[in-house]
Amino acid sequence: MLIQVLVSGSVLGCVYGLIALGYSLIYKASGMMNFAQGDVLTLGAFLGYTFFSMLGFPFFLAFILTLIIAFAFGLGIERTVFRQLKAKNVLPIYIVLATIAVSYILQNACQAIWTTKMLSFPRIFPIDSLKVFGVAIQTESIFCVAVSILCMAGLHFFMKHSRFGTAMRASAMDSKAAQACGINTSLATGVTWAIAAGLAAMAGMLLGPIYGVFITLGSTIGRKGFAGAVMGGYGNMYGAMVGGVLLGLIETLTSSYLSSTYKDLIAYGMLLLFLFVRPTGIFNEKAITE
Amino acid sequence: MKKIIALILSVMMLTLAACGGSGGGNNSNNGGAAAESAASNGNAPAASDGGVYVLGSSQPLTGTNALPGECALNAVKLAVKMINEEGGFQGNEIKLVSYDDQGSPEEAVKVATKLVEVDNCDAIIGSCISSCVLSGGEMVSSAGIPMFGTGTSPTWMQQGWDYVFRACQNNDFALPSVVDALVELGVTKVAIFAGQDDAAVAGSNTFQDLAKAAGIEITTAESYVEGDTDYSGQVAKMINSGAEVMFISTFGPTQPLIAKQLRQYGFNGLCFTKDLYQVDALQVAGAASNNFAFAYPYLTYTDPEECDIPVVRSFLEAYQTEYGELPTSDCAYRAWDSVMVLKEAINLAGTTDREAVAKAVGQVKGLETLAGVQDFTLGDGEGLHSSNIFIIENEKYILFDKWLENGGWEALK
Amino acid sequence: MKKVMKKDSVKNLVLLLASVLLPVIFNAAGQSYPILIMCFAFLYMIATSGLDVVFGYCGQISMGHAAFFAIGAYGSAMLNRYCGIPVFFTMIIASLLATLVGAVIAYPASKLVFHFLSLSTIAFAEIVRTLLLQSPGGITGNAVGMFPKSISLFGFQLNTYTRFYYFGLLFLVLFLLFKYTMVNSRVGRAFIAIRENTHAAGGMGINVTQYKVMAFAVSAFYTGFAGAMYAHLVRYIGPDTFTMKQSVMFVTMMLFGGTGSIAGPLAGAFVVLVFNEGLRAFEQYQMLLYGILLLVVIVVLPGGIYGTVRSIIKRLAEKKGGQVDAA
Repeated sequence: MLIQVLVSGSVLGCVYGLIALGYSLIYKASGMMNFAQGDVLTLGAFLGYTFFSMLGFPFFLAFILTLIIAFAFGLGIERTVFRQLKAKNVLPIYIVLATIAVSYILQNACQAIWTTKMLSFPRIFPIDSLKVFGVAIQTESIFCVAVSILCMAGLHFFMKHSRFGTAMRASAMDSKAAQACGINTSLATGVTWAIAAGLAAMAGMLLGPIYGVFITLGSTIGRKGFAGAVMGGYGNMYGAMVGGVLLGLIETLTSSYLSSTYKDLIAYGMLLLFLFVRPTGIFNEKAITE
Repeated sequence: MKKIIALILSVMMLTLAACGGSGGGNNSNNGGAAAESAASNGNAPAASDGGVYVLGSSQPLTGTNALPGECALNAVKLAVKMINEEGGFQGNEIKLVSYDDQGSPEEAVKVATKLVEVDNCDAIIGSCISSCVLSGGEMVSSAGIPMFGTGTSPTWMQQGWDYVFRACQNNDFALPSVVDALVELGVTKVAIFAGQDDAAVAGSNTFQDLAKAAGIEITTAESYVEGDTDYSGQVAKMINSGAEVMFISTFGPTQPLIAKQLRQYGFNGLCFTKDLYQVDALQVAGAASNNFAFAYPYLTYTDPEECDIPVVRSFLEAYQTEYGELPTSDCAYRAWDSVMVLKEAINLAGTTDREAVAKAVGQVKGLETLAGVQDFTLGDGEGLHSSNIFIIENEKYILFDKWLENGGWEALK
Repeated sequence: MKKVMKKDSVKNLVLLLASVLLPVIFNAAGQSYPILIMCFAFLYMIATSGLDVVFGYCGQISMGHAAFFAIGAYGSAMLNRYCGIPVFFTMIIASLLATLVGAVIAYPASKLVFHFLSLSTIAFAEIVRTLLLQSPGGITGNAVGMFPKSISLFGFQLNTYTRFYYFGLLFLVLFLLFKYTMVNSRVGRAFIAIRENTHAAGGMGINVTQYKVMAFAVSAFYTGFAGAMYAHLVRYIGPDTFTMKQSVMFVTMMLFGGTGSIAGPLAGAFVVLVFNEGLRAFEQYQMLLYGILLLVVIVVLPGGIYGTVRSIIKRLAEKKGGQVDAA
């Protein structure tokens, strides 16, 4: 049983990690907290469903199309909503509130456009499941893990070693100074949000075949992803992944060996402990001071 | 400065008054005699305000349970339309007032208050979420307005509210047949997976009590939090506890998820759910749904042709003509039956007076509805006291007894 | 100074008079539903004012205030049910309990900032909710919830909306007076100093931790009391009421109205509540429209309603060349 629990906990953790990457990215590159990631995930799942299942496009094409739309959405939201807010120099909490409003809109818009039903996302792979360490895991879950790890590595490299990534980080740390250096901060911020939205939408498409597609698919996962990001070090790409996996493992271990009723309690308790004892997370990521 | 605030506030208050009045503009109870004091309320005027019967509806139209809510509302709308075509209730045209209780008890109370006080309803078709019926029940009953809740948890019929009734399944009444079936099969170990909402918990508790009394051991009882989609930890524990059969007591949307995860981790045995395993869950979980059984009065279908019960079939055809598709949730049936029982009660009473109608409900007997024959004469406010058992085989529903006859259980062992 | 005070007092008195007369008008028109809405408005105003103390004045984010709301509500209900204490006193005791919890959680939380603090408050609220849902021995009624009684003051039952309205109004005024006194005192100034620059405040000799804890504690009392009011108004409480959505609602109301002021949270609570009610007619589109409206208002009117109104006044006054009210 232990193997099964560890494997499934890690898989769940990778899902959290993918969401956490989005949160950390936005924070690292623009200093803001975004509560709508979970719902962008749901949007991605619905979009993927539309392209893959309803219109019958091949998976790869559906994937790309969903990503493009998510990118556009992220850019659009940044341009219309967050740029205005930043220009008016409001308290960061208003931006958080705006993301909460976006979250409400996304959830209910998805319901209005698609449906309240639970939709069935067809399998992507012909093979049902593979055996990992003797435990049967759905193929899509393994795909999810692979994608998460790729993203983590890719993003980390991008943020730290590429020119544009560094420009993004600079804009987040001090946008006036960055502009003085000739960095196009507006583009940088826009791209950040676009990538984050893309990450979430991607996660949604990957989760669709595993969990089905319905309007509250992303909400709880979003919050847990956020927790995972903080545990690993908010703003750190590796941290997001590690934090997510750690959270997934804690949850699954708790519910199998201790108690499923108090599973969330223990997970959140651990989070609180982390915050009180080591708020910068596992990877010791310093917070961006105002 | 503060003057401006005061001005704005007063304007808003006027707007509020306008909003409040939009629901009916009627001069119901004098101010303070709000529904809370049971003593005062003989003064609620009899329904007809110039030949209109106001029927209220409170359903979750947004949130996790938006689907059942929507199906229920559609069924009520259809029923109202058809009854109005036949002349309405005692010649009064039915006006439907519907609100979204968002599946939240707080909203349900506000909606109930609005329905009772502002819209002055003559009857209410209540929420399919049992906690919402619970929260609004007290005020509706003390106001003397008959309400047919469409949730399946036993709790809200145990509060002693005289004006609250149920024309659909009470999980407590169905579970004994499930336990009997298990005993007959010789099952001795069962693991439970339950949600934390009222209906799930009640279902799980009742099952545990019945099972223990029948000598069945409950190897473990796991739960999950609404919103969670991964149950691998719980599943691992359930399988390792050595259970032969699983009892799943959850909301609709969770069913396919737990089914898939149980099958994925290696449990292919018999599972019982506390109520209907819906047709959309069947589609999502596919082959994982096989060997899921449940005790329930009715099924949901993808095509009216599949249905061989005449009264259900004609309902399905009417629904399909009106909405272009079949209801995915059985809440549609529950709501429909509630309106039919109300109609029968009004006929028996011969008037739309609320108190008379409520009394008349207790005389409804032998009424054929989608759920079967309803009988309210037992006096507990419930119309159904037993139900069928179905099981899923090859992704289709068949009667449990038939499955047994065909050797299904032997094959599983 | 005295002249300014007098002007303020007159305006406040007018407002107060209007509030007192309101139910009379509504009752005469036979509408008790708006009175119910005002009852909700009052308790949300108290809760939001509490949140404003800890955020608007002291600068600490709390996204978990639903926890205190719950402690006040369940505390009051349980004390009444299991210990037989009359309802009004249970409200006070439950609020004090919430205060205690607030103080305890504030100690470690005071070291955290920004998203760490908000996340810890979220985690705290989730823990409280899980405990409500699965309480040891089922004392909270778990999923079924509890049915608290209505408030009784020395035998006088507050079982109609109108009576509750006056009770709510009275306590709102009391709470506001206390808040006004506090924010204009040394304590209030310490809060503001901490909000503006925590390090500098510490450097000036302000015991930052002590004041942060105080802010949290006071805020918890307010929200706890509001929770108890809620329990005895709605007369049904269940774990579903005290979710993160509720915490977000408080934050929304506060930000909407404008932080760091007396009137701001009041306006915010009232407007958001009215929004929700007004949108109820749209059935399943209610939440969607709510989200859109919220977003539009945030983008167009950041600083909340109060802040926007203030800037309008300022601009008008500057045009006229008159004196700007120091409100």
